[in-house]
Amino acid sequence: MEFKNDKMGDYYVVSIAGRLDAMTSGELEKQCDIWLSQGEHDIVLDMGNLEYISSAGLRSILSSAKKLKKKGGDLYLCGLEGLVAEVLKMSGFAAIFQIFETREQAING
Amino acid sequence: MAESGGVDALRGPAVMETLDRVQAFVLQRALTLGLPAEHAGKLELVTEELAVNVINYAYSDGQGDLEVLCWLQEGEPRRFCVRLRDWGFAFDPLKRKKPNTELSFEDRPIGDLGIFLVVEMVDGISYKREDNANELTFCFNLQKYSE
Repeated sequence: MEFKNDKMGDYYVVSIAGRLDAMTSGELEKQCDIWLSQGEHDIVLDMGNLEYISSAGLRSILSSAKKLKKKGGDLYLCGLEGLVAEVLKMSGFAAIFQIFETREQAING
Repeated sequence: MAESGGVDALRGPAVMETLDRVQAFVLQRALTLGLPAEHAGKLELVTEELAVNVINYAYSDGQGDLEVLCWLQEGEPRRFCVRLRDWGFAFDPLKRKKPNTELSFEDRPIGDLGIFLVVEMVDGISYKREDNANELTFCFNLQKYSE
């Protein structure tokens, strides 16, 4: 799994690529701790290059979002396609997260 | 419940390092037996959720095997079927309470979605305790994809 970070205004845009599964989901939580330690609380997670997600991935997204919210921030999602979009919808995450088509739309709210 | 093409099996220790092998094996058999590639992700997810359950919970001392069997089930519709077996204590994951996916962000517990996603994605799933083994069998219909 790969992370690429871009600072865009007040937001930290994180592009996540590869597979978010039982083997890799811990990496997202570690990244979240790093963002928080750098004072980044408003994160846009760009999932456009994410090929696969399982319940372990969902767990790490929800856990990260809860941590960010505690610090007054939030986790915004964008770029959902295919299986990733389907899994987020099925799990009800589509209703509890702010989801945007593109990172630009996420930043402009 | 006629089977064609024989049954292929893979068995290994129920540890995280086996997961990749199990997923690759199931996926390779599925594609060979006619599951369209665009459904590979769903199959991988279902396999992962069920295998991880065995790896994490089946054996209290962490020592034991996980076996996976794949076959093509003839009939109407034809199905690609997978059976996961473990020899841990008896446990039927299908009896777990369905999570509430309509809770608000604040009330939403972290976790608990694996089996729910599995049941939503497969075309059939059943549990059986047989010869001191847990057997979880799930199938994907092939016909509806080729229509």
